[in-house]
Order: sequence, then C-alpha cells, then structure tokens
Amino acid sequence: MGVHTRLQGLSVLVVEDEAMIAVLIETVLREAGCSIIGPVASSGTALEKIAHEKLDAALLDVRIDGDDAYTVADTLTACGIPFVFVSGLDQQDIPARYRRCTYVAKPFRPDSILTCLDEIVGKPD
Amino acid sequence: MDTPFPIVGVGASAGGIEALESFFKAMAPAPGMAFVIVTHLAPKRESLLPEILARDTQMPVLIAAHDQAVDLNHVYVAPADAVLDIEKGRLRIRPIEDGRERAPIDSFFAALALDQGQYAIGIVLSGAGSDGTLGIKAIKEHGGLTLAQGADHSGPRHSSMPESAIASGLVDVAVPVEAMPEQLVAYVRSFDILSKSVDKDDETEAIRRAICATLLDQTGHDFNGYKTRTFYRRVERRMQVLQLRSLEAYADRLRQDAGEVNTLFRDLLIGVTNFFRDAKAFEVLERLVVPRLLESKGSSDTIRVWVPGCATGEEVYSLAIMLREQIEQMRSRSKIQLFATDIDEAALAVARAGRYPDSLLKGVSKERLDRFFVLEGVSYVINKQIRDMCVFSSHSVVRDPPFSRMDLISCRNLLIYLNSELQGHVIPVFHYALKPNGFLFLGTSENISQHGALFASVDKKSRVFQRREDGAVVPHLPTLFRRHGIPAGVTVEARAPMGRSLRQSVEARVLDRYAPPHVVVTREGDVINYSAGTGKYLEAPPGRPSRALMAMARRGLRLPLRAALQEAIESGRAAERDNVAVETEDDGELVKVTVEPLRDNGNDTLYLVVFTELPTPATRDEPQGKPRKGRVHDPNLERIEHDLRETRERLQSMVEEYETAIEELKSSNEEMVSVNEELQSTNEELETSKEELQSVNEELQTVNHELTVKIDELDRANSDLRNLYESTEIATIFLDRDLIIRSFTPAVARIFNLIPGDRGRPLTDIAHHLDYAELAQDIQQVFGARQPIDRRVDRRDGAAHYIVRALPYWTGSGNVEGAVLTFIDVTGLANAEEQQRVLVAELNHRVKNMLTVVISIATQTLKRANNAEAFGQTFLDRLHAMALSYALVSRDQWSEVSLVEVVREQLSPYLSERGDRVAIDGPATLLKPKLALSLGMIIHELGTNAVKYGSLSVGSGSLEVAWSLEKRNGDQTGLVIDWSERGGPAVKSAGRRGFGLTLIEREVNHGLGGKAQIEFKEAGLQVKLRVPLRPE
Repeated sequence: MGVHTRLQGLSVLVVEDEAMIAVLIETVLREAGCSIIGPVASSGTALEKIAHEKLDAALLDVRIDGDDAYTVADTLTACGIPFVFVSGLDQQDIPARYRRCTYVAKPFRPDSILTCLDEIVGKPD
Repeated sequence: MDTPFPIVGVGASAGGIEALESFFKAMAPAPGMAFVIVTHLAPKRESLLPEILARDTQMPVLIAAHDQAVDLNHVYVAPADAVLDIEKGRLRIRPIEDGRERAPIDSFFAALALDQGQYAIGIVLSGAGSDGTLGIKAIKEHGGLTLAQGADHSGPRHSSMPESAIASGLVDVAVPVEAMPEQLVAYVRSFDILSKSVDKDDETEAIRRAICATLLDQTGHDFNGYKTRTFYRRVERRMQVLQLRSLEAYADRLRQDAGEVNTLFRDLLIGVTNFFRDAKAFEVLERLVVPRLLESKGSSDTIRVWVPGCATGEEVYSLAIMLREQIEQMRSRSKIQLFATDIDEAALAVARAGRYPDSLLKGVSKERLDRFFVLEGVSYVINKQIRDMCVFSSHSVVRDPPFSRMDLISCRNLLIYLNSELQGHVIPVFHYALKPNGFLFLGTSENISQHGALFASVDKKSRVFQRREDGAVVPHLPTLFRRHGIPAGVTVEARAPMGRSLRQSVEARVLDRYAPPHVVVTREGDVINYSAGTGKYLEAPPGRPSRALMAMARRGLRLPLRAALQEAIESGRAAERDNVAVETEDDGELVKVTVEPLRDNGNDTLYLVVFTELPTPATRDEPQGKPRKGRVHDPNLERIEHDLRETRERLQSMVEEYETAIEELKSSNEEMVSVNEELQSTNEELETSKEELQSVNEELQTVNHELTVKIDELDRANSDLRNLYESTEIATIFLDRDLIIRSFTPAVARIFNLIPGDRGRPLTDIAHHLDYAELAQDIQQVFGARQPIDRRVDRRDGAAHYIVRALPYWTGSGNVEGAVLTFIDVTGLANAEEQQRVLVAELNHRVKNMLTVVISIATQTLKRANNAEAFGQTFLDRLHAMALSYALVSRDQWSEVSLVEVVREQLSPYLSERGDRVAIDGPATLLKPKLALSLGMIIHELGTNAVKYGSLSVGSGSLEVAWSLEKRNGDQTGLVIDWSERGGPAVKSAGRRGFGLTLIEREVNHGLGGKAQIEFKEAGLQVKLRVPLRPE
C-alpha cells in the first residue's frame, strides 16, 4: 500500500461494462486510496463523466457494449487525461494507433493495475 | 617409304556408281597406287560410297579427311559439301558454304596434276556435263596419264562427261571401265622405264633423230630443235602406255603405225594453253597492235576479232580482257566483238560456260581476277561484260566460208596441226578475212614464210603480222555447197610430183609440139599445169600474179571457158564451146574450147582444158600482113559482132559484180550462222532455267501444302485456346516484355476495364480497380528473377479480394518473353478469414473477461467467507452456476437463449425437491448471451438466498418467478422479472446482505443498464428487475 503513494486521492474514471470486473477494479482502487468516478458501462456515459467531472486518470476497457472505446480514448488524450487500457483483447487486435498505449491484460493481478496507473500518472505531460 | 606411286583421281557423276563398282571389282587387291574418288554429291548428303565400294575391293575405303596423307593401295572418297585439293601428297578439304561446286572434278584433277606431275592419273567416268575435261588437260600437260570411259554395249550410262574429255583429244586411253584396271597396273609397272636415266649417248641420239625423221615425213614438222628432255619425256610416256621397253621398239612402232605418229605429234605439241600464254606476245599486241587498231575507230565503230581454233576459250578470254583494258586506258568508246570458232563442240561448251578451276588461273594477276571474274566456290567464272564480248560457234577454217572484215585474227593453236598444203589454203583465207591493214597473231612455232606476199612481219619473234595490200590474191573460197570433207588434224598426204620416165618424156614432147595447147586446172579454176603454146589464149593479168585461169584468159575466152568448166564439173563429162572468138595479140582467132574431167591418182578431180584452133574462113583469102581483122567486111556482121562484144563485156562485168556480192553475202551468212549458234546456246540455257524453275515450283508447291496443313493446325489450336480462355473463371492477362497486352480472358473485365481492342496497348495505360500500386514493379521483378510472385491485393472499394500471381512467360526456346498475370478471387475466403479473426478475437475477449469475472467473484466470496470450507462451497457453487449459464449459451452457438430455460436451469436443484412450491411463468423470451449470463447468475444468487434464508428454507414457503415485456423509452423492449417469495421466515433487515444482493444490483444497474428493486416485504423478499431486452 505504501508502494503507490502517488495514487492516494487520485480520482480515476473506470469504464467497464462487466459488473463483476468493475467491482474488482473498484476494490483494488479503493484499497489504494483512489476515489472512483463511475464505474460507467457505455462510451456515452464515459464521455459525460469526462465532460463534467474532474479526473486524474482513467481505466478503460477496450470493448464496451460490443463497441470499441477508442473515441473515449481519443477524448481522454485530447483532454490530457492519462489512461490505461484494460482489455481482454490481444494487443495485436488493438488497432495500430493505440497499440503503444499502456495496457493491462485481463485477467490481471491487482498490482498490475496499480503499477500502470502509477506509471502514467508519474509521466510528465 | 618414299618410293613414289601414282595417285589416281577418278571423277564420276550420274551413272558413276555402277562404273565405280565395275572398276573396283576388276581391280587387283594391291595394285600399287592410290585412288581418290570425286563425285557430284547433292549438298548436305553424306556419301554412302565407302560402304558400297568396300564390298567390291579389299583395299580400305575411307571418306577423305583434311590433311590426310594419301597411302598406297588405299581408296579415298571426297566428302559432301567440300572441294578436294591435294598438296605434297596430302589431301586438303575446303568446305563449301552454300550451293554446289559445279566442277569439283576439274578442280581436283588440276590440283593433282600440279602436285604429282607424271605420277598423276586422271580417269573420267560416266556423267552428264563436261566436268573433268579441263582437269584432264591439266594432267596431260604435266605429264600424267589420262583415261576416260569408252562406250561399249554396256557403255557409260551418261556419256557426256567422258565424251567431252575424249573429244578434247587429250585422253590417252578410252576403254570400257572393266578394261581400265589392267591398263593401270601395266602402266604402274612400267614406271621403272622412267627410272632409267636416259644417257645422251650416240645410240640414243641416233634413235631420236630417226624418230624426228618419221615425224617430219608424216606431219611435215621438224622436231629436231625441240627441247631434248621434254622430247624424251613425251616419248617415254608413249612407251609406257604402249608397254614398249626400249626406244628402238618404239621407233619401229612409229614406222609402222601412222596413228601412233599422230598421237606422238599431238603429245609433243601440248603446251600450256593457259590464260595469257606468252605474256611477251601479249605485250607486243598491247604496244603495237591495239593503238593502231584504235586510231581509225570512232565511238560507233567496233573492233572485230576472230579466234579460230579457240578450244576451251582461255585464249579468247585473255584477248578480250586485254582489249578491254586497253580500250579503257585509251579512253576509247569503240566496241569490241570477238568471234571464237572451233570444230570441237565439247570444247566450245566449256568455253561458253567460261568456268575454270582456280588452279588453272594461277597465271592471272589478282587485279584481273577481281575485275573480270566472279568467284563461285573454287572456280572462277568470266564476268558478263567480257562474256558478252565473245561469240562462240562451230566452224572449220578449212571447210567453211570464213568471216570477213576482221581487224585482228588470233590463231595460235591451229596451224601447227595442219600440213603445209592446208596451211597454204588457210593463210589466204585469213588474208581475205582481214580488213586492209588488219593484223594476224600466230603461235610461237608457227610461220607463214611461204606467204610473204600476203603478210608483212610486225614483230617476228612474237609472231605478229600485218595484211599486205599489194600481194593479195583472189582467194579460193570454198562455196557453201561444196565441201571437201577434209577434217582438221588429219594429215593430208603431200602430192607426189609426176614422175619422169622415157615414155613420159616422149609423150611430153609430143604434147608440147603437136598437141593443141592445153592446161590442167582444179575445180576452182587454178592452173596446175601448162602446156606449151598457151600464150595465144592466156596472158598474165596486170597486177598480182595469179594462177586463176579466168584471170589469165584473153578477152572473149573467159565466159565460154567458165561456162564449159562449170558444165564439166557438174556433169562429170566433157564440155565444149565452139567458135569462140578470142582476141589475141595480133589478130582474132576462132577456137574450140574443150573441158574434160581428168581423174588423178589422188582424190580430186582435175580438168583438162584444151584450146583447139579453128580455121577461120577469111584467112585463106587474105594475104599475110593484112591488118588484124582478116575477115569479110560485112557492115551488118560487124555491127552484130560489135554488139555481141559489148554484151559479153557487160555480162562479164555483171558476173564479176555478182560474184563479189555473193561472196559478201556468204560472209554475212556465216556471221548469221554464228549468231544463230549463240542464240541456240542461249536457248539451251533458258531451257535449263525453265527446268530449274519448274523444279523450284514443285518444291514451292510442296512447301505451300505443308504450310497449309500447319495453318489448319494453328487455327485449331487457336480455337481451343479461345475456348479455354472463355471457360475459365480465372482472370488472366498475357503481357510481353514491354508490358503490352497480348491477350486476356473475359473474366478480366471485372478487374480491368479492358475491351478486345486494347490488345497491343500497354497495361499501365489501363485503369483498374485494385489497390495495387506496385503492379509494374512486380512484373519487372518477375522478368529479372524469372520466378513467380504472389500478392494479396484488394479492390480499392474493398468489395473483393484477390491473390495476384505474376509469372514469367516461357517460350519453347527457354527465353522469358513476357509475363502472365492471374487474379484469383478469394473474396469469400478473405471474408471468412476476417470473420474468423473477429470471432477468435471475440472469443479471446470473452474468455479473458470470464476469467476476470471468476477472479472477481472469488475475491469477493473470499472476503466474506468465515472459513475455507464456507468459501469453497459458496465459491464452487457460484462457479457451477456460471458454468451452467455458459453451457446454455454456447449450446446455441452464442446466439440467443430462452429465458425460461435459464431460470429452470438455475433453479433445477430446487425444483426436484420443491417443485410444487416453485412457479415459473412468463412469455417465451429470447435473451442475448450477456443478458442470459447475467440473469443466470442473478437467479442463482436469488435461489441460493431463498434456500438458505428465504421462503425455500422452510417447507411452507413458495416462490414465484414471473416475467413480462414492457415498452421502454424509444422503441426499446424491456423485460420485467418479478421474484416473489412467500411463507418464509420473518425477513430480517437488509443487514444480512450478502455479496449476492450486491452482485444482483451491480449486475442489473451497471452491467445491464437496468434497474433492480429489492424489497424485504413482510411476506418475503420481493425483487423486481427491469432490464432492456436489447442493449441500447
């Protein structure tokens, strides 16, 4: 817990349509001291949250409702909000544009999420 | 090893194989010589002759190879497509590029003669044409032996070749082919005669002189001054041929055999009849004669040259070349015409052809060869310019009327064969034939000393003479209708002078004194004997001396004399003319003229002309000394006589004029005959051309037929190809190396906008629908690497996918001459692949999600479990519930699942025991997989809860699960599920919320986008779930 001090008080948007996975992510984040925006299950709701809430970071599932979340990713990038892809897709199935983004594969260890968040938050803009 | 042996060249053509077989069958197994066979083979055909001849002889028979030494008792056959040569006893092969060599036999024989000299033997066998004649000449000239296939009943099949050789007079032995081996073997054995050196001792000298005497006697030519060594060589050769072993034996033979004398004579006379023989003599011609000839010629004039005895034509062409050169050097525009004659038809044929093997032209300068000859194979042919200057015809100087108005006569190989009698006949003919101041050119050993009156010497050493105007005699020209029948070359016996004996003396005296004056004339009217007292009737004519009776006859006598002579000649009996008035010196006379044929010992008929004086009626009356005309003076008679005289004179003049005209006509006629011969020979050439054309025509027809067959095959193949193209679905384009479209299948139209007229346009000009910028590059790579290239290419609009294969286009010769492009439509395949990829990705995603869900559930369950056992049970329970749901979903390929099935499945453990207490009700509803899975889990939790804590935990409790559909905002259909528990234990507060209810809420609210209402009512737990049936 003390390892990821940076994450304390971070407000993180969670975009994940599978309820149980959202719960898992929430648990991990809460234990790390983050405050959670969402979880949201659709790109539309995600975009609303981005527009109206203050976010420090986001965890983004690539496939939401059978659709891709790349518009959300673009919006996050445009707003300068760092994010981590959390996905069951193989990296090769991710379009080339986004392949270099930070990525956590499902199933994940709780630590992976936190390490990645740490990474992206620590990066200078 | 160096004992020389004879090498026998054998030439044969059509009919030759038969002859060769007979020849070798009759030949001894080791005859002591070598044989080289030259035939007229069709080009590019190998000779089978070695195999054929190997059957007939034990000697080895081989095809001649280049630089092969000629070995004793071996037989060599000339190969196809080559000309054979021999140098220092080794055979040499010169390949011919195209066509055939027309005279390979001449060529080889000439080379053989030069190389082997007296050890050369040439044999001409059956064949058409005259190949071999020139070669025989060469062998003979260099001291070799010559044979030709003589005719007999089995004779040569084609006799023209041997006949031509024999006609040249240079064949030593003309016998049937079976008789030749014997002759050859004997000849070879006789070579030891030659090995004896001839000592010029007195004995041999005496024999030589004796031989020369015999020759002189018979031929009239003195050979004492002849080169001794050559003389002996020629004599020895004749001894060899006749198998005589000593000079005396030969001398004896000569005395007995006139034929042999002739043969020796001819052999001795063989010089080298080459081109430009006696170069010095030609120089004299150039220097002295030609300029003078040209002096008087204008540009429309022609220099006319006659060459009698032209034989095979070397002389004629040499003259023509020299004259042509001189004319051009002096920039004269005069034309030149040469008339070349001979009685030897075979030689004329050779001369007309104008073709000589190069070995016979060694004396001609390279400039002349290049300028005036055309090289064909290994022979030179005289070029058209020179050939057109020469006309060849058959003509005898002895028998036939001569040419006339000649500027130059070159007769260098003829007179020596004639005795002085014939020469005496021929020289005046030449005189007649020449124009005033024309030139005569003779051979080096010929002379015209007896005819000094006719010709003046210009250069004695070179034998150039000029016609004299003063000493001319009226020539005794043979008329066309009377022929002597003396063939040239046959010696004519000299006329023996009349012998004298007593009786003859007496008779002569009587004749002289008492017989009437008479003369003996030939049929031409030449006096050969005068009696005494002819002065009254004959007078030496003014001008040149003449023996012509007519020229000498006094006035009044000529006409009757001529008539009487004519009559006597024609009738063969005596003819008379009576009362002929002759004007003598002192007075006139009447005379009776009698002409009577007189048979001499010889062949000719002579005629006796007798002048018998008739008494004049007037002389008895008149005294002596009266003026001349001692006749009765009758004015009428005088007038009549005067008229008669005048008439006779006029007649005489006319006759003379007509005679002259006739002579000129005869000459013209001869020229016409000559021209006619030329035309005939041209005609023959045309005939030959026609035959050649016909055969070419036949060949062309055959070729044409073959081509037609080929074209049919081609049409069929094309048709097959077209059908193949149209039947195939694979779009194919054929390109050449410049990427020009050659052809394409109809299926290409889907990809490229091609119409049939686009054949011949470059591919790069044509628009296509493909996203394939590297097309041209790929094709170039195919050309370079000569390997196919495959590429996956899509239509720009993505509607279709192709595999494009570019292959090199191989021709039969192993060259890459283009490319083949095929487009295989793999859209279906591509789509299927794409779909599969998508599915696999989807599967991946789901599996990973599912595992994550499992982890999540595990984590949450673990948190709330008191002990491992409790954890295990709850967790495994949940896992099984998930598994059930997944099984249901996957059973229908993840399409849709029936809601009632989901509910039943999850409640099945409870249904069996408590079936009557559970009610499930609702319309048939299909759920999407995600909804089905979520509801599965939810039903499981609710069910577990009910069993543990709710209505199903007691025996009186009941459960009702009911659902219905409702409309949601927009067009959405919503599902409403009511879970009602009754009769269970009193519900405690929501404090005992387990994870289950959290799960349900989260699933419904978050995961499904719906609403969950959970109420702990007094009767029991009431849960209302509202979810959209289809995701928004």
